[in-house]
Amino acid sequence: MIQRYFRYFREMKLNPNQGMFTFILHRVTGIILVIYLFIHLWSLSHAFEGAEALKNAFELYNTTLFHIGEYLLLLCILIHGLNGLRLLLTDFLPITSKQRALWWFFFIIFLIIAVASLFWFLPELPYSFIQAR
Amino acid sequence: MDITKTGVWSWLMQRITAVYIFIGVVVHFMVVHYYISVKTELIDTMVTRITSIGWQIFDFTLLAAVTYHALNGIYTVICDLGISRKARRGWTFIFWILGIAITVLGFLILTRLVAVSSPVSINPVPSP
Repeated sequence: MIQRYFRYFREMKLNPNQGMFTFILHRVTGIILVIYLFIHLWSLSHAFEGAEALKNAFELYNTTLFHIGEYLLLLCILIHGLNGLRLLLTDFLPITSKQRALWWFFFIIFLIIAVASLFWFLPELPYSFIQAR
Repeated sequence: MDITKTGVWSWLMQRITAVYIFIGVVVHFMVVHYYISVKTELIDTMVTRITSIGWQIFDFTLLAAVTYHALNGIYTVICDLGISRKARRGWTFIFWILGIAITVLGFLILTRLVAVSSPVSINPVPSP
């Protein structure tokens, strides 16, 4: 059953377009974001144990490892969100003939935001790697 | 062919929730990573934010939309494996139960967050 998923990679070889590539990326980042949703709810559920437990749970995220993870999460959200916006535009507007240009447009927006957000994420990095301050 | 029996409503709902999530996630990110800067204690700034009813409604509706979008997305991935019509109905049932459970859990977490973030229970934290 799971072998059916290999046809995406087979098709990627037969049809090596940006659309096929972002289709796979959209799926992969979507699954990562669903997993993140559960982790996010779990970490917030420390509120059931009181404010102190919640603060301790947040302290864990103030480490370099989690800041790197946060940046990767941002990349996932950017890929999924911007590609979703591209899909919405091609679904509801008659611009299918321009979709290659549209893809590059969104790719450039992705690059700009991904590089610009490094200016927010990099100053937070010099904390210890896995131990909270 | 009756188009409403081919899953067009979930297709449309996926688009509607996508638009709401796109705006909502940007707002959520701005609030968490811009207004709550690294200099301030997260839990102190959460007090002013989460105790207002507007932000509570925003958080809850965003969670509901994200849950629908996420589980519908996983459902689509499972359907692409080529499962039978009966199995699809089973997964639909499972995901509705799971989605309602997540939304209720999120609502409980939100009320709990409001409770622990109330200004009474917060002690001033000495900065390191």
